[in-house]
Amino acid sequence: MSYAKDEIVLKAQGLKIHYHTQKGYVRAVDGIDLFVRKGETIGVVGESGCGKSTFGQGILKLLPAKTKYEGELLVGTTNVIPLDEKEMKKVRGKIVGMIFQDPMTSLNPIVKVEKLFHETLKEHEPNISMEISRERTARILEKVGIEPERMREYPFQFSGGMRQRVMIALALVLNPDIVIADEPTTSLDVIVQAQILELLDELRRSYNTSVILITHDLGVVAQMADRIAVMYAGQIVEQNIKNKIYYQPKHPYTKLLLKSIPNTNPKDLQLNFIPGSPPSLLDVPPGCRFASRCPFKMTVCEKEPPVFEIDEGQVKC
Amino acid sequence: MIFILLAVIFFILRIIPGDPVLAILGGKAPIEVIQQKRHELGLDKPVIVQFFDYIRGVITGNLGTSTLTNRSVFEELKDRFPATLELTIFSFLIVLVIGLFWGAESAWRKDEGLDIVARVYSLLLYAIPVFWFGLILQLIFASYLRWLPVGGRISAVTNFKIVTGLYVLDALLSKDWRGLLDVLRYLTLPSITLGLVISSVFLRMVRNNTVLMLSKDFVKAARARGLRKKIVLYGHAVRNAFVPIFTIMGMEFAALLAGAILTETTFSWPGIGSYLVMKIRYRDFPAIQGTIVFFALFIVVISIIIDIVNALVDPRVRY
Amino acid sequence: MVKNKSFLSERIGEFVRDLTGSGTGRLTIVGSSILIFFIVLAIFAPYIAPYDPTEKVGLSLEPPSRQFWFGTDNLGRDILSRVIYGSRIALSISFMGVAIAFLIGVPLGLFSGYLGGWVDRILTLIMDAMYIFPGLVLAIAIAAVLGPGVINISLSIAVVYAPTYFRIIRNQVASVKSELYVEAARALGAKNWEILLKYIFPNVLPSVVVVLSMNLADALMTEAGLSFLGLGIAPPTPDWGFDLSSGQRFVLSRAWWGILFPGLAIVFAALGFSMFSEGINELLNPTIRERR
Repeated sequence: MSYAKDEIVLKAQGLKIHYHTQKGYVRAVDGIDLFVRKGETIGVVGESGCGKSTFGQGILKLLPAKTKYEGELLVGTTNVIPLDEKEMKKVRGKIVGMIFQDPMTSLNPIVKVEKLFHETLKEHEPNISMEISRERTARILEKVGIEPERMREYPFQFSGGMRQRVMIALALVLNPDIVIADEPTTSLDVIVQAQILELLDELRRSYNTSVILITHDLGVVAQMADRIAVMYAGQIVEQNIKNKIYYQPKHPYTKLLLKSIPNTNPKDLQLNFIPGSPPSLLDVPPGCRFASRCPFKMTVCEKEPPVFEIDEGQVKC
Repeated sequence: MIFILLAVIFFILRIIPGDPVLAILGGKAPIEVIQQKRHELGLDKPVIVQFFDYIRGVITGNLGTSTLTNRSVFEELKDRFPATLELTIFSFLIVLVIGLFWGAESAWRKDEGLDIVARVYSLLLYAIPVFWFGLILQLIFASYLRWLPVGGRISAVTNFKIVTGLYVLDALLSKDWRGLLDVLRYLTLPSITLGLVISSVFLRMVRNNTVLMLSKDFVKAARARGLRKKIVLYGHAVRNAFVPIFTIMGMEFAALLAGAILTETTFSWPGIGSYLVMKIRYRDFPAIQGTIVFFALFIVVISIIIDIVNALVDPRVRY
Repeated sequence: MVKNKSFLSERIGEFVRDLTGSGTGRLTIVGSSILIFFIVLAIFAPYIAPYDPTEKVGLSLEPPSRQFWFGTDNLGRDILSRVIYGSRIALSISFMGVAIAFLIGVPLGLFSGYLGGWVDRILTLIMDAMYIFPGLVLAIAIAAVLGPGVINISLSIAVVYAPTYFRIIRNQVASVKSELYVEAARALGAKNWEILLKYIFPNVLPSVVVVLSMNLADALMTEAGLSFLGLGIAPPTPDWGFDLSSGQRFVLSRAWWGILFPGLAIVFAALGFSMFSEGINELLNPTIRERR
């Protein structure tokens, strides 16, 4: 789809993603509102288990078959929730690409890289020939910093960082409007992390793709993100443009999260952490979900907090 | 490895009590005749010498002479080998088709009807002796329904030029279509019998390993790129599942051979299996030894082939 | 994905899953009940069987009737009685064969694994060679030379399965041997055989038990196969495999009872053993359960 600048490419409204497990009914994503504009990067930040990964995979409906979706999830102008597998296949890869967390396991180690690209291209452009795939593969591999000759090799011959680059290339080769990056750097060491993030940012600019960057690390989104959404226990507790989040956090959770980032200040030797642990998504408490750990808790927090629109962002408190 | 195998066969057949000469001549023959026979068979030489003769024989392709027919064991085996080969090939095809497709689809639709039936099928068929299964099939299809023949390989009226010994191939080469149909009719029950029984194990392996692969990240990533089910399932999940399967395939092949012996006996299929059984009944020791050696060599060759194919399937092995 | 169909198949699925249920122990229960059933049959055969299985009691090849529930075979013998008595041979040979295999394989394995060196290497090589050889062929070869008879057949079967035990034990011993607690024991002055018995053996036993029960099913089928080929027990002793081979001659006469019943006996007994072994396997190895 072609968008005008600043047009909205993805919009979630009241999105809920629930599923049954052996242990019970999990409300992984419980009513979130989010939008993404063309060309911008949104960081979705939260602790493990807050539902952010579920959200990421849910956009492409990659979750197990019996997952329930509620609300609205618009990719472009299409609501993807009622779409079936056949129609989702047209969205996946072509309109929305995805980068996974662990590059060691998310590439099939025994299939040649060029084949991975060729099959992806052929799925969406059935008449493409091997030569043309090779050309396009070569071009994009160059862009991510891999010598094109290496496409004849197997993923098991690549290092972690290189594999992640391949993963990124695969996500971008069909020129999607949106790319979801699910913890793209968590399995990599720090130096490689920075390289990959830089690469991602560069590519975003050159392809003008929107990026949804999912991570638990506020440091990762610090550079790249335009806006940030903080998730907790299946809900978005605060969303705003980056600077406002970092410098003027409103929600107590955001504030505590920022405080708990270890810094290199030798005078500040104490590790701040947020006491307690997030509620299990099986058994969600009524009212504000953060209340039990919130230092500012008030009696009114026993009721479900509304979303306030303040200062260009939203806060749920 | 081969050497050890041969040595084992040699010693087992000798260490175990039982005098082959007496078995051939009966207990009441006069001493001179016994000794004469002993000498003929080379059994009066010291054991070590016998062993070296044996090894030399195997290397040069001389597997001894049948005490029954006085022909070279090697010749006799050569005559009967194509029959077993044909049976094995067709059974294996059935194993492959059933095991692969049913196994993969069951893995994809895990815990649904298809999968349940697959698991029950595997469990049940494993407990069914292959010869009983053959007999039941004979009862139904040959005896009651009279659709297919009860045994043998070819009917007396069919006559085409035998080139390879693989009748299906030979019929095709001669463009004898009636002959082809005839031969296929005879091949049907035996290969279905052997194929279905062995497929139960293969099916289980494919299904379990594919399920394992389907849970892996790279499968999810493949789906995220919009790839269709056929490619995700067969191009990625099953392809990777084959790596662990291959190492077990070798042992399955051994089971196939054992099953072939029983199947050939049930259907009077003139292959090496029924040959062995017949020779045992007649106590033709050189032939027995020769056949078992042949089996051993066959297995070793197949293991090597499987190793080669394994390297093709899993590139990690090569680097 | 198909929504309506899956409801019924889910129900069936649950039932079968419970039956082959992971960790519910139901498999073991069903398996052992079948086993016990056959053991009872074998022990109390003279009291249960209506006729003497070796005597001609009726006309040959009579179909099942009130008098002969399973019909008669070609020599006029009652098939039901033959099936009941057949369990004796089937069970005794399987048990004996596997027991002997155990008694040969385990000590050799302990010995070989512990000693290491060239003794270990040679033994392992021989055992490996025998292991990859198809069981039935090996059994046929040995049975051919030994001749018929309960002991002989059991020995043939034992030779086939001994390498299995050898390998398991030997590998376990070899790996446990280098464990710290063995070194510690030796440092404290414990003698070799003490170490073997007290430390190594108990650790190694669980895996053996599982294999044992699997082998029983296998051994049963091998014995049946041997008899079918005419290499097993000599007539007139009732044996399921042998009865099947006699039944084979009358396939065209449609004497289905001669084929169905002995075969069913084999299938049930084998199923019983297999279920029992799968159940034990799941109980002893809770980590190897089916993914839900």
